[in-house]
Formats: sequence, structure tokens, C-alpha cells
Amino acid sequence: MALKPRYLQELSDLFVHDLKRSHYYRKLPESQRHDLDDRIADEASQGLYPLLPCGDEEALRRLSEAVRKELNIPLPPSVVDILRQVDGFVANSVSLYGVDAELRDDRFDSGPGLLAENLVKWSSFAETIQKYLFVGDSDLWFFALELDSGRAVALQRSTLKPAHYFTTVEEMVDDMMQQALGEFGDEMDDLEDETDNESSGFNFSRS
Amino acid sequence: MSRRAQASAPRPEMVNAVTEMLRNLEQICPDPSIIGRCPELPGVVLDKVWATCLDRDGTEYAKVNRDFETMRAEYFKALVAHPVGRSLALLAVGLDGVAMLELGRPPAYVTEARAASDTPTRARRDSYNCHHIVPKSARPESSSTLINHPTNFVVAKTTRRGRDQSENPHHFWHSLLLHPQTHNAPAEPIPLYVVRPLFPFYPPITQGFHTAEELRKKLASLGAPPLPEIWEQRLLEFSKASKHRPYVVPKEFHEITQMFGDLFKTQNKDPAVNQQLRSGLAAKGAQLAAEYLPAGAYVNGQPLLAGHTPKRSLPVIESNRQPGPDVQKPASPRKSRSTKHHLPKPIVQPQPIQQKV
Repeated sequence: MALKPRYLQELSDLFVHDLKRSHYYRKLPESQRHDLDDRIADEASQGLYPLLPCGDEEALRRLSEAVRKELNIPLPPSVVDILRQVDGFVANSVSLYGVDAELRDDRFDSGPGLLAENLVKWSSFAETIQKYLFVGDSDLWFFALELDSGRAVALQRSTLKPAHYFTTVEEMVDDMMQQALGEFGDEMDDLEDETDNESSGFNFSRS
Repeated sequence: MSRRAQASAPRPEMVNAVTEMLRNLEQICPDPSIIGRCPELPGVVLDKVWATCLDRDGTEYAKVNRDFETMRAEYFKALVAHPVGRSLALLAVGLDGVAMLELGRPPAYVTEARAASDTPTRARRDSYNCHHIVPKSARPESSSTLINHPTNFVVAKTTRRGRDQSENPHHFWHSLLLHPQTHNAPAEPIPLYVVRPLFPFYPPITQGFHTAEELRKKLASLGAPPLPEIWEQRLLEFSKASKHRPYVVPKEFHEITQMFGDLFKTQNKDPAVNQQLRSGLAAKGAQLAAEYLPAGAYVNGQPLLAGHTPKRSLPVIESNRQPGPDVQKPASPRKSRSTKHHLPKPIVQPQPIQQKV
């Protein structure tokens, strides 16, 4: 199943926008800046999502091997399908883990890697070993696959207890992208404006 | 950040709450020398709260996300609208980070991009999370503790480089200090020692400063005025504690994490072996946590005995913050735009804080 192209496009646009207003970009020598601009334009013209690359098959094969070797689990096909479409991102405190940099040809570390993050989390939270495959995180949640059932789940960040199950992994990653874009709730905002309802969480609260 | 959140200015109530948060931080530990008391965690104290570690059942996931996002976006904007908050933000996350905070977004700014001819273009970012000091899953006994309030937030670095978590203090706090206390915790209220950084951003600086003059020059180069003396002193103490270099998570923790990772390679699928591994890791984690936590703290469901003395000298406080009044949502966010340049005024005078150092 495909991820929502609109979210992929908007995230890519956001990343390009962030890059172009960054101190790093502004300080680049002009020729390098032009090269970067050309590459981004070229990728966009090919129908790709610049700065939001998809995982290539060879890197995915290496990741599957490494996961089997180091985590002693097969990499679920549903996760491979996701990484084939989007090889990780970090935005608005939401991270989707991608193929680890050392398993890609370019070896360029551009975000948290799926294998490394699971090694770290299984090390830190022993009860999750071979129970969950972590695929991402945010301020409030860890996003994972329950290995026994294959279900996608958001875990409470502090207690690691399930907070919400998704129908599919794609639905979970779509939700992560939506949170990364900060788009959720716009419709509800509009509704509240009309009805003058209040959201309890908007007040300073205990929950 | 929603388009609505991006467009609107923070309400006066949020601006006041940021003022309250900064004042609380100043009053928690007026003595700047406390900053370097524990060199592994400079500028951090353990705050003892009585709480029940329960799951927040019954709260709708989507609503939690939406409410927190709305609150957080407004908080970020109010934080960088405050003169002290802005200067602290500039030192911690730089101009790019501040630009994102102004839009209600957590800082995640590009530090490098690579465009090789045969591979897709990628960018590397430094990233941050907004951490709840008292976890959302804890139910504090004190009715004055507000979970979704600026006094309970810290913007913490979460940059990861493969297995290297040395720039990820957020994970360090959770895995070393919080998780061992909440895991297998009893159902009744227990003393929970939460990680309370004495800065709204952690780490608060990205470079060393030997003198106040250096600090002021840096701020001037970023277009910001000098900070009040209490903050200057804190930052200088933090710089001294981190040996005037960018802060990194303690090396031994980092090494042990890697060592744990290597253990997996030798395991097989035998459930008994895996159970043994889990137990071994939990014991190691508990042992590490006990090096930082005081007697009475719960670790993996058991309290540390009365005679226990932690190896590391993390200062302990017991804050008992007086709550600000709940804030009513204005009828229309658009009305709050005119408040953009209001001077912050405190809602309440924070209660004196009992210090147990």
C-alpha cells in the first residue's frame, strides 16, 4: 500500500524550504549552492521527493541482513515497503528511522537508522527485546511494530505501554508524516471556531 | 505546526507562563555553583515528586497529539518572544533554530547537505524534542503540578549519529533515570525523581565560554542583548563543567549502550536465552540508575535502601510549584494577534522552593 503522496510532497517541500533558509546553505560557496539547487530541481523533475529519498534495493537488502544478524529477527516486509517509499525523516520532533548510513553506498548520516535505534532501545528498555521493532519516535510516542502480531502501534514514551494501534503500518507512517507537518487538527480548529468549543488540552492541564 | 498555529501569536497567558517558567528556574537553585555539581549531568537536578506511575488510559491518541501540538507551538513562540528566552534560545539552537521556534516548530536545522551524482540528495539536521519533565504517564499527588505547562517542558537535543547517542541527552534521561523508576513501579504513589534541567534548552550552549565578556560578545554577534547576571553565571558554570566544550552524554553510559548492542549479536532465538538477556540488561540498567538516584528512589520496582549513597552527586530538590490559573481559550485565535508585543507579566508569584541539596 502506498503512503499518501501529498504528505511526501509537503514534507519534501518543507525540507527544501528549511535547507534554503538555513545558515549552512547561505554560507555555501555559490558554485556548490548552484549544484545543490540543480540536483534538487533535477530530482523534482523526475517525480522524486528531494531531501526525502526512498530506500534503494541494495541498501534495503543490506539492512535486512544486518537486522537478521544483529537483532535476530527478520525485517518485516511491511517495514521494507515503507522504507522503499521513504528512507526516514526528522521533522517537528517526529523521526522515522531510515536505512542506517553505513549500509548505504553514500554512508552519509542524515538521520536515525533503524538498526542502530533498535539496538539502543533494546539495550535501554530490555522488556522490548524482540517484542517491538521500533520504527520512529516523537515527543510523546515511540512508533513500533509488535513483532508477534505484526500490528503497528504507538507506545507511550515513558511507560512503553501501547497507546494506540493502527490498522496498517502505512496508516501509522501517514500519521507520523501528518504530525511532522503539524497538520492534524486544522479541521477541528475550524469546527471549534464555529461552535466556540474548548479543547481541554489547550489549557494548561494535568494530562 | 498547523497553519493556524503558525499564523497566530502566543496569547498573553502563554507569555506569562513563560515568564513564570523562567522565574521558577531562577528560584529553584539561586546558587550557580550547583550547575557543575555533577559533571556527567551539568545543569541538571533531580526533582522529587510523589506520583503514581500509571498509564493514561482512555485518552484519545489523536486528541493528545493535537492538544500537545497546539500547546507546544504556542509555547515555542512565546519562549522566543521573551527577551531572556530568546537569548537563551540563540545560544542553544542558533539563529536557524530560533527561526523555527518562531514558527512554532521545534528546532531541527540543517547542518550539512550532500548531493553526489549517483545518490539522492540528503540533508543532515540537528534535532530537538520537547521533553515533559514530570512524565505524562505519571500522576503527581500534588494538585499543583501541571503536566502541560511551560514549567514542565524542556527543549532537549536528540541528534543521533548511528549508534552514537552522545548528543542525545533526551534518551539518556529516559533510559538511565526515568524508565528504571517507572518500570514495574508499584500502583501506589512513590517518590519519583524526575530530571529537571535548570535551563529551558539542553544543552544550553554549543560552545565554551570562559568569561561573561565572551558570552556577551557571542550574544551581540547574534543580535541579542546581554542576559541577566544569574543566567550568565549559570551558563559560565555549565561551560566550566563541560570543560568549555560542547556537552556530550557521559562516556561510560555511551560505551555500555554499545556493549549491550553487541550482546545481541551472540544471541539465538531460544526464549530462555532471551529472557536471561532481558534480566541481565535490566539489572545493568538498574545498577547504573542507582549510581545517580538517592535512597528511597524506586528502581525496577524496588526502593533503594536507606543506606544507599549514589556514586554521582546529582543535586536533589523538591519543588512544589504554585499553579498558574487555568487559561481559557480565547473565542478566536485571531483576536490574540494584538498581544504579540505585550510585555510579559507573571500570573502568580512562584512559591519558594524547598531546596535539598
